[in-house]
Amino acid sequence: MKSKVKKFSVEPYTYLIPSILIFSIFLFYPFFKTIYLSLYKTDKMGLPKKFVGLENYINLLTSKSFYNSLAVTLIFVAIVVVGSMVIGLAGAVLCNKAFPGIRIFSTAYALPMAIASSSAAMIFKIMLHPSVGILNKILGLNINWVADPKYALVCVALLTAWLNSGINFLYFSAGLSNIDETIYERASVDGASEFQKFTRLTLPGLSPIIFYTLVVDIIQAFQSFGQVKILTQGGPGESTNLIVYSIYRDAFFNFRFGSAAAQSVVLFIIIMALTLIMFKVEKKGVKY
Amino acid sequence: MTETEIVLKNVCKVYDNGFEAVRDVNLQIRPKEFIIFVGPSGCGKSTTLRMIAGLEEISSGELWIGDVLANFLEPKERELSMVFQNYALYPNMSVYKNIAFSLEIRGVKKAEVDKRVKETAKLLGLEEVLDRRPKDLSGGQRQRVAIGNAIIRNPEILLMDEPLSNLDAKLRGQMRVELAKLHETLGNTIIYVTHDQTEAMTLGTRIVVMNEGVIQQVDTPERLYDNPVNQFVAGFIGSPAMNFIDCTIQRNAAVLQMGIERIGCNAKIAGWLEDIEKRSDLVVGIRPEAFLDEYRKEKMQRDDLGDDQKMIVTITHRELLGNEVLLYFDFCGKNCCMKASVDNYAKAGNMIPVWVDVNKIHLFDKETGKNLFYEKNFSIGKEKANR
Ligand SMILES: Nc1ncnc2c1ncn2[C@@H]1O[C@H](COP(=O)(O)OP(=O)(O)OP(=O)(O)O)[C@@H](O)[C@H]1O
Ligand SMILES: [Mg+2]
Repeated sequence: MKSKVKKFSVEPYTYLIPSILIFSIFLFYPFFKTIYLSLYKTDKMGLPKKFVGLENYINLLTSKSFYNSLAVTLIFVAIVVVGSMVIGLAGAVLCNKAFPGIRIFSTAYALPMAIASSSAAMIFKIMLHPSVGILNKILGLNINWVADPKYALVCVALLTAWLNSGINFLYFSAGLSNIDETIYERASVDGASEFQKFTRLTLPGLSPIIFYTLVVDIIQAFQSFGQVKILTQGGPGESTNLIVYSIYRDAFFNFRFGSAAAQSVVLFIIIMALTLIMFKVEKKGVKY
Repeated sequence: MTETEIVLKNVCKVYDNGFEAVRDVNLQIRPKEFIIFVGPSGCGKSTTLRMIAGLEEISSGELWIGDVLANFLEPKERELSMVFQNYALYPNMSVYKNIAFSLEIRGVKKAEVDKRVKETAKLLGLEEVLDRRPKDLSGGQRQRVAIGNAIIRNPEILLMDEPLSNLDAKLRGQMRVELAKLHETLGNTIIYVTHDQTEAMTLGTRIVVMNEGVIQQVDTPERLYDNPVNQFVAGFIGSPAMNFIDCTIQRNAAVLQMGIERIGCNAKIAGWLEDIEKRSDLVVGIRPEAFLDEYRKEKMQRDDLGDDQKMIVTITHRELLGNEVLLYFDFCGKNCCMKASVDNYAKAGNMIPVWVDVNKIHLFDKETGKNLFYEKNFSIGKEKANR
């Protein structure tokens, strides 16, 4: 009888070469280079000059500014994730029924996906302008939205939430169309209210997709950059100084590449830890 | 249980694409009735049921549940429950939760829910699978979960859309008995859709036969079988189906001319024929058991059947069904089926004598399909009932 275990062969591995090559150049090399840089003091060109060990990290963990960035980022991520999921879900549920003009509404809900964050930020900048902005005009207020530390972070976060809601809308719509219509019919005959149908059928039915979008949204929110760059540049004060923006500032304004690299590594660790925790939780909570 | 009557008045359903699925349905469903809808696939049974449930808008006509006009009531306001044709189980809930759903959303106490779920599961033989999810069940188990969900609430009106279609023969037989018992003990109104003859004939107090969206006949199983209103019902009810043979009747002769065969009628049928216009576009309907072979003729002591009703046929095919035999033969260009005694060993190719039990023949108008003996049979049925 022949053994079922295949002998080692080179062939399958050759298929991996193209993607390994691409990943190596654009992902693995920069990744390890960043870790390497984070252990050095650099010159203005970003070249490592002096090995300092963990000094960059120690400086970071004792810096008030870093903790501020961390806090700001967490608030930002929370608003963005919750906001974009709620907008996406609400849109998807509303557009799940057939009615005239549904395509227009669907397109409108999915549209943010197609808008670059920087151009959206430009438009919002005009809309939020204290004297000519439409928001103040409509509300009859006189608030300098992006220059006021109270509002700046919320404004940027809501803009980002809206931008990210487009793709969520698509995911949730796909998820909803996968749910069998007749279970809603049965639920109505069983006597369930619309709210009960939503909480007992729709949400559990969507749970795998909700989980997936949650993970993606969190990662994406941590990496928001363009809208901060254009709307607030991290200000006023440091009220919108997200970690990614702070990395950018350290590297390209202060030329402290070592510190920037250290922050990148910390950000990576945070995101990775969150993702791992979520997958742990998912095993228990999400039902397919 | 209160006495809720369901009345459909001129109910029609036109789908958005213009398709008329149900046309002018008039029906009065009495309290505690076990009424059965039968008909070929696509004839509008499910549509009618869904209109009663409130899942499908009624295009025109009235639906009365009790003394309430129910056309515009929400499904949940109608206080009925339904077994769906495709089960419609909640995929993300266990079997237990599926069965308990309608009680839980009504806020029934946990202990009470638990007790009723256990009882229902026992009744349906689902105790072993209560923790599983619907996707881990067999088709028959799913169907039983759907039934469990519908009956646990003990609703006054129970709608069932082919609830037993996916069970094996033995289980189906058991469930049939259970359903009949259930109906007896609970005393609810059951509206039941099926295309299984046996289910329809054994379960129903009345049967509604539908075709192409139109009700053909509403009657008790016996009367439907003995006195179908038209050729469609005659052909649909009964298995194997009734044989239809083109025939003519001639002026002043009590004879049915079928091709080259002539069948003489007895006095009763001859009397009936007298009232019928003599013409050539008729169809005679003979059930398989209305053909008698020599063994059955003898057993039933039908000496009244003589040479006038006798013909010689050539068997083309033989089917053994355990306690009886089906013999097929070509007659007037049609392949006909007859029930024969198991003692009859005729095989394909044999020629045997066959008698037509003229008392049991039906005569249809070829054009309209109307049963020309319907009124006559009807009055006989009435007389019998009165006696
Ligand atoms: N949403 C719809 N739009 C248009 N036509 C429909 C729709 N639903 C059903 N029909 C049509 O209405 C007719 C009746 O359908 P229905 O489901 O009532 O049949 P049925 O008698 O239950 O058949 P079956 O025994 O196969 O379940 C069918 O011809 C079907 O194609
Ligand atoms: Mg159907």
